[in-house]
Amino acid sequence: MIDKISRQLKSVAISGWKIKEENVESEEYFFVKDKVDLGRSKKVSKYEVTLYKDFEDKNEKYRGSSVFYISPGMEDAEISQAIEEAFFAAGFVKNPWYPLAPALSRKFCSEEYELSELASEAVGAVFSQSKPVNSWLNSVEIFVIKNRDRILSSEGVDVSLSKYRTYIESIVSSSGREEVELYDQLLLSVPDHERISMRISRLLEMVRERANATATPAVKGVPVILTGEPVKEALRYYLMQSNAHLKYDKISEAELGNSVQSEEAGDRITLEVVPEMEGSYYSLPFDNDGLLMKKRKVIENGVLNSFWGDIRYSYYIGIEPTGAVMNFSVEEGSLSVEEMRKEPHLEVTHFSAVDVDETTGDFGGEIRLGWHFDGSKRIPVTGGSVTGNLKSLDSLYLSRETELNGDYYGPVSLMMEGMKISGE
Amino acid sequence: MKVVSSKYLDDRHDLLRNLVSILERDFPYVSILGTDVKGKLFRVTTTGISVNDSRWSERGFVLRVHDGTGYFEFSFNEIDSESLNEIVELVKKRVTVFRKAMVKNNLEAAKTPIPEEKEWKLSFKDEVKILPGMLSAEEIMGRLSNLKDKAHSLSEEVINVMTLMENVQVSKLFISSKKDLFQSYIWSQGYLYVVARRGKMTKYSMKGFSGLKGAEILDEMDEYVEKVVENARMLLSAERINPGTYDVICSPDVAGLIAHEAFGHGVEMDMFVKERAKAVEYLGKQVASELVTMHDGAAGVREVSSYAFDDEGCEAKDTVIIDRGILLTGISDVISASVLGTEPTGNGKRQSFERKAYARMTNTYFSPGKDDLEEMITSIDYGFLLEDYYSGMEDPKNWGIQCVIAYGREIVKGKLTGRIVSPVMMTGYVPTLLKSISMVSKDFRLSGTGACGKGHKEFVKVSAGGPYIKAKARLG
Repeated sequence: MIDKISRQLKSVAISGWKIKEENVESEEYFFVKDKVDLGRSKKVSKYEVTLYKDFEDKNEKYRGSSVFYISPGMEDAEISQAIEEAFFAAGFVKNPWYPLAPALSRKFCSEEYELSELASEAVGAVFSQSKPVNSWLNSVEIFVIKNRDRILSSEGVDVSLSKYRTYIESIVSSSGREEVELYDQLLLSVPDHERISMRISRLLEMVRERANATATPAVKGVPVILTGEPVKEALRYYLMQSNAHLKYDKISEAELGNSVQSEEAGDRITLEVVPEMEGSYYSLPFDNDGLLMKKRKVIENGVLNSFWGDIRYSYYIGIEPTGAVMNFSVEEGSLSVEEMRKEPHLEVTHFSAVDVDETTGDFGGEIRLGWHFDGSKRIPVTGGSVTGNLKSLDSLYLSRETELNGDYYGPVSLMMEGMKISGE
Repeated sequence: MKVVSSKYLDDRHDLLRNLVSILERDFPYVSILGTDVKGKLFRVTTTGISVNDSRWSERGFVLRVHDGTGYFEFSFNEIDSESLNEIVELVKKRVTVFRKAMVKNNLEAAKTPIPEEKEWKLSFKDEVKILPGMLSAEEIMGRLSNLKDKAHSLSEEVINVMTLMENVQVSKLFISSKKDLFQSYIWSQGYLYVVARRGKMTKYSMKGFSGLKGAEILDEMDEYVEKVVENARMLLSAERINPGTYDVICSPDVAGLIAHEAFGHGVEMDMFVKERAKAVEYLGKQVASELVTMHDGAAGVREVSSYAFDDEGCEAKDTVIIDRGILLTGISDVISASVLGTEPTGNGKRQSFERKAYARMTNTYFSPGKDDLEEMITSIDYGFLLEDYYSGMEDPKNWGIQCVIAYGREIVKGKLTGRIVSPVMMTGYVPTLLKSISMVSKDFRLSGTGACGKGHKEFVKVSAGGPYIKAKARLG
């Protein structure tokens, strides 16, 4: 199919092209409690084609582009029509010129596994738990995926990779004051029995806490500690302030050499974009342009060192591209989690959804599970919300303890002051 | 104008029927869904332009077989007469491997009854005013650029504008031993999105447009540019709300978000099977004020999730979920209905042929009432008129609700004061919120922009809306 597409592309007066071939196979298991409800399997091939058309207007160089999809079984006439339409449309896409990724020919292959065996291992790890009293797995979805991707371009890019990914969505339940549940997504490369098992075990413990939780009190003036998933989402705000696309779009106001944090007390953030992080679902050596990606420390001690981004937006703002990196890490902070918990606080591990607005800095979420410590007792709480703005914090502290969580490696907890807590 | 058929699916119809027939020799139930979804996304921003195929584009097939115990599915997108037997053998092999993996891990299979289908043949092609392709890319980009330029011309505080139109043609074919269904329809959506900055303060406002429409949706966008700019600038002076419980009036889109998050997700009947839905305990009981009637259905109204049959070959319906405050029923996919012994309601939807079908919402809304918005405002001593939203999240098990609302207009002694609070987080216990509804306006508006996820994935098109409603809500 690639030959068929590139042959047709070469017959049009375009300035460049890029083809991304994706081959996806997956084994999927859907469980209700410990009984399998449905099994699924997938074998799909897709082609994403980008066509570039250069032109000039008033002595300025422009690079138009258009993306279209080709599926297996598409006839020559249909491919030809898709190319013609994209070629015509690209002529009206008046974007400032930018370079394409330079020539690179490389294959990145992971160790080969039998997909069904990996899937069976993941299933085994999920259900290997000893059954605790009063909490149980309500439902689980397990996806084990093999991706084989290849990117080719008119500039001489020909890179390919094979990669395994594991996605486990778990709902755990418990009965206490009432029956409650918690939701969790675990994203890994290949199934890691120990990590899966520990995660499920921890979830089963936490949902028991929620079952005995009382309504969140409407407390004022106490710091909020975030632990787990919400930490990643809060720190992603700083990652996005250093992104070249957001800078070019004027959404990010970050300036080189200036602090990305407000005047808050506490720890200064050191943040790095990391293309390949061991065990991460999102690790990739090259991005969608076929550009070999680079690590870069973009924020150091709270100060913006550099932006990061793909080749187009990096060129627009005049920096070396890192590529569209999908993982980030944040250095540990100054306090242990225990130290954070010494003073009265509200700690939240699970929100219904963590809402962090990269444009405004607004932060908010309804509390599904948290703990209120009034200086003497630590009580599980649920309901109510935490809201505020990351641009106007009074303090921010990061934990010394770190963890890998999806596309993030860094402090497992953070503590901030300046948030509003709504409750009863 | 009539939507044209899918040549891709038409050409493969007989091959797919043959595939179903061959597999029926080994499996008591076999069906196949073929999809051919094509669309274009036109986007003009202050800093760039793009014309790309829509991300909703897909083309492929999903086979569903029942092996006497339960279901297995296989998604693929390559088929011709030579590969037919290869697919048959692959499906048989994968079913065997799947069952063996369960035995190896000492896990049982849930026993799901084999569905009973009735004979049904259908070929449905919808109509729109302007078919995709009738307006050139140049014309569309020109009109979107004009909207962007107009927004910038209105204020120097506007720092970025995005105008967007997406037209998507959905064609689907469903074949089983008793069914032979085809449908083709077009949905479109548009956005006006304006970012404004004053000093260190950055805020944005957005207006969405949607429907079973073609490029005519551009006509609706013209008149809203000033309003979106005005709202973005208004938010620059907004304050944070003091957390508390207030009298509120929710605009139709916020009311729709409540209908969707509060009850819609909670009555998806796959949640009943998993014992994840608190709604089960309340069937036949009062869950909302008598003023509340709520529907979901692909057949009730014309919006982005209106269709003739769902992704499991079930006829679209208009389901009354709450009738004058009483919870009547949920919405269901085929598997959940088989397990629960109920009738499917035409709500089995997939993100694409590559994903599982779940019980999903279609067009979810509160029915209009008898009140006037002005009277509703006058009736409030202190509260807020809540308008526009950013996001929402469901909690079907515990009936919690999280709605991130763009802004609230303060009401004091029956009058809007001009003070704005933003953003506003609405949380609380769903029945408490719905039982507190004391006034419902005559207005009715649906919106179907964006996408709805199940948990944090499986995104599908839905719409939601209704009238203005007056309630008591916890805001933060």
